[in-house]
Amino acid sequence: MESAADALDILSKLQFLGFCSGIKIPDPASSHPSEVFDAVLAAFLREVYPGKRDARPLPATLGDGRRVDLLRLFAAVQAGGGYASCSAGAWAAAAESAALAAPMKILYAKYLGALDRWIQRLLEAQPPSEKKEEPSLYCNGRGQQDVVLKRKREDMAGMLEWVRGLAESVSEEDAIAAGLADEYFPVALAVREAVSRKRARRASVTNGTLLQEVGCKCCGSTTSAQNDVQCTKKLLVQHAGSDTNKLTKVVENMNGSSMVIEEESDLNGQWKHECKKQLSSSDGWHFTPVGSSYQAHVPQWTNILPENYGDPETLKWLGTKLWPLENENKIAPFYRDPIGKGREDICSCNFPRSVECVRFHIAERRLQLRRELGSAFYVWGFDRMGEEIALSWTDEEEANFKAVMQMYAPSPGRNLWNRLHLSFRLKRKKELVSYYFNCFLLRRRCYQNRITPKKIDSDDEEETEFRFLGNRLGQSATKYDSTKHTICIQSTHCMDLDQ
Amino acid sequence: MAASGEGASLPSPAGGDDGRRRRVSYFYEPTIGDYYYGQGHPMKPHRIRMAHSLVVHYGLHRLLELSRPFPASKADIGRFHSEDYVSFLASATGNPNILAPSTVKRFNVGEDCPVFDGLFPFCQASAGGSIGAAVKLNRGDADITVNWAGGLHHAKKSEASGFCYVNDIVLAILELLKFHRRVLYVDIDVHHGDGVEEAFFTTNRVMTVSFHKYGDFFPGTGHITDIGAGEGKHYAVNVPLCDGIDDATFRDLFQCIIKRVMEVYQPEVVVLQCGADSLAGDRLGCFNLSVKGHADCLRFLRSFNVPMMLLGGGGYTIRNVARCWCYETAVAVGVEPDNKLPYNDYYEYFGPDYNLHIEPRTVEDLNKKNDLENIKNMILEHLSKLEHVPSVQFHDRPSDPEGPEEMEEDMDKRPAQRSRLWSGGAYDSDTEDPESMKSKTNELTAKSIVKDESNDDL
Repeated sequence: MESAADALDILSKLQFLGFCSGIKIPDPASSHPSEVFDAVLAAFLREVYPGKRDARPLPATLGDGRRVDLLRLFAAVQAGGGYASCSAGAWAAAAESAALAAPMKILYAKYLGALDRWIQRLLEAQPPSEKKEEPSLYCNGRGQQDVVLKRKREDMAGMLEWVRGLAESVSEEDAIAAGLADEYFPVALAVREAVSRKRARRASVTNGTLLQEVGCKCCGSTTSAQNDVQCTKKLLVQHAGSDTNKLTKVVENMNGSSMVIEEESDLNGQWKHECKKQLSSSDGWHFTPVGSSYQAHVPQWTNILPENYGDPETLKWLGTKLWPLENENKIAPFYRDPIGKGREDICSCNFPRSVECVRFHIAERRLQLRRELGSAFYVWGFDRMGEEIALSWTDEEEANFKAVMQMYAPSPGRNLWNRLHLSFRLKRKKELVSYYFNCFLLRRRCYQNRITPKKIDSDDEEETEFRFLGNRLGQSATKYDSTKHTICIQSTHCMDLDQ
Repeated sequence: MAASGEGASLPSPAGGDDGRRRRVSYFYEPTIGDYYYGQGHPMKPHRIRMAHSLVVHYGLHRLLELSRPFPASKADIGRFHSEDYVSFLASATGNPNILAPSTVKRFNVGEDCPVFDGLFPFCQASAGGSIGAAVKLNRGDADITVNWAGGLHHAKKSEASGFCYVNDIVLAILELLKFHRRVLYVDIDVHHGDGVEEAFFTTNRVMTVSFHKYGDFFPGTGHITDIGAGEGKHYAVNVPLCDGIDDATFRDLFQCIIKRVMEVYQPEVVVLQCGADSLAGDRLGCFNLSVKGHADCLRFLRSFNVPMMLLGGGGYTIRNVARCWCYETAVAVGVEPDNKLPYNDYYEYFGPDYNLHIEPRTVEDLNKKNDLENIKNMILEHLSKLEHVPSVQFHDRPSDPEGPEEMEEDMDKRPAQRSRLWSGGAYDSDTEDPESMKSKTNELTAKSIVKDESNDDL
């Protein structure tokens, strides 16, 4: 049976993540646990989905008016490992314990999905082994929740105050003692550890740090603190040149990072970018670890240069020389443009800058290059560059590729290449990728350059790659056969550029 | 101060002084463009193939020595990376489902650094090119070496990071250190060069200088107060910048700092990481540099006539990456290519203007003049703490196997190069004023007496 304490425990976790800081909850002593939970959930959802007011009416009720005990449902699913890893059996058990029937999974996803993700994230961030420290961070006393809740926040504030004070005046032992008396030190350590979990690659300490100093002073007084100090030693490295301000910074970063975690980002479109960003921000304070696990081994300079630098082991690094060619007849300079020469914009084509015109000049150039490079043309892979690739593809295959791209490229599941692979069993993935970059993208860019020249500057490659996929015109524009098209394209092109 | 590099154009290649030519060696793996990080992943090795196509279509290869890199073996990569990590990379296959969660966590592979098909050969080619570029410089075979497939500066000793798996830069620098006492690493990627900085954090034989966006940005390191540790203290320089920095601002800062670095550190060789995500309109970056502005960094460094290695790095708007690296190859060989791109296999990628150069955008430069001034002063202050020419004295060069050209102890001379062919003329004749340099170095020698410890409050 779930108690109000469970609801408050969830609240404290959310508060740790930076949510629900100013929440007013019903008196846990007199309210039903599920009401307390609903209040917490409502506050949380408001913060997670700002602007979407009351998107999830609470309390949740079924069609027949029955009220759903979300707390019980949540607890049951959490027991099964959370939404993502909850097995069918666990769902059944959850349904039973929450006295619910069919729509439970949808209900859960709608009401509790966000909460689930955040709690899971917190659990991942603090694996069970570290959980021992949680009591010092979260509310720990069952049965006196409101006291605990308040204290928890006071604890944090008090601890931060203490650390700040300490940073300003290191020498004041009174301050340290006061902090120890209030058990701020373990709290500070636990917070520090929680904040710097991912990037906290262990390092040996080369220089004295404030926390160490604090630790040393603390060692005599509390054994628990002593343990923590050892752990901090590994986690916290401060380089030379740092001073006490850094501890303040640590504190500031603690605030900062919990703020950043709040932003629930939609990772669909630019997940890499977000990943990179999240990595950087959620880590907060950074340091460069020192030790043989991090630095390269750099020998002292000895004034003695390596002998045998001409041995095969060294010479292998020179690789295979591809140019200048040694055993081929020199090419007549007649074929060569001066170095650094660009294109001539004036040509005798019927429709200068049209698709045909450009194709003609590219082909011309390739021929010229093949003459100049000789065998290097093939060695460097120029025979596998550009639309040349399409020669080994049938029209049908090309159409098929287009269709699959159209269908699966924008889908968030990112299984495009599996799909392509299924559709082209005879082609290796390498060939598919090559076709994609050398032909497919090129042709679409060809279309964009002529039809929507102003839009390509969005510079969102993702968009550039997939947005115009469905447009048949784009594809047909690259074919020779329709003169009509070309004229139309050509005029659009000029118009756009001239404006 | 920084007098050279103001003009954006090189002396005309045709009519210019041929002594300014550099022997440039360029590494290119023809299959590099076929590696693929996965659907929607912004890192696209295809960009290197596009750059190569432009280089050849401009005819720049005629001024290059072009080699296909020898793939680095597990043992070679293990010269920096930990054994278990290398073993993991070598055995990783493209099927992510068979990865144990603990492995994913331990080596930080997964979303940002997916285990894709051909991951290890890709790393081998990238690292092999950079090590090859280092060997070329060590042997004195080339004055500038180029590997656009390198520059993967985030990779750590035992972990992947930020699309990087094997830190080819660290491996290359380790190779350079066999022949060079001091290596300068300069990083103009929009992201902090954390992997290289970390690898050489405690040595003064490598100085790392990184210009990057700092603040709520990957990887989160690179604060101005991170200056190295132990013997390496003051040999890591970080220039944290805000969004929207433009050519002029970047150039001023870059030239001012690099000039000072070259004066006080006197590197024997320079490695420049040319991450192209600092260009305007990059998909992940937020700076506002034009291709010319980006290449001005190279132009400026090149004018010091110190052997150089050019590496790639980030860059996620691939058409601009190709433009940038093609142009920088041209700058390396001393050619100013036409702005109108030649017809080439990837011509349509460069529409609708089909030009080599890109225009900066109209975005606000969030770097306040005052802040930049403070950053500059703080870094110059840091640099003044540098022990003048570290650990090894300037004049006790080892005897060169091929016979040293210069053994003078004159301070106004650059460190003697290993039988370089170039005439030694700087890119701009008034870059170096022997008189002023002399007085500066003297001043610095005096300053170097100041103890490091007394400056901890920086």
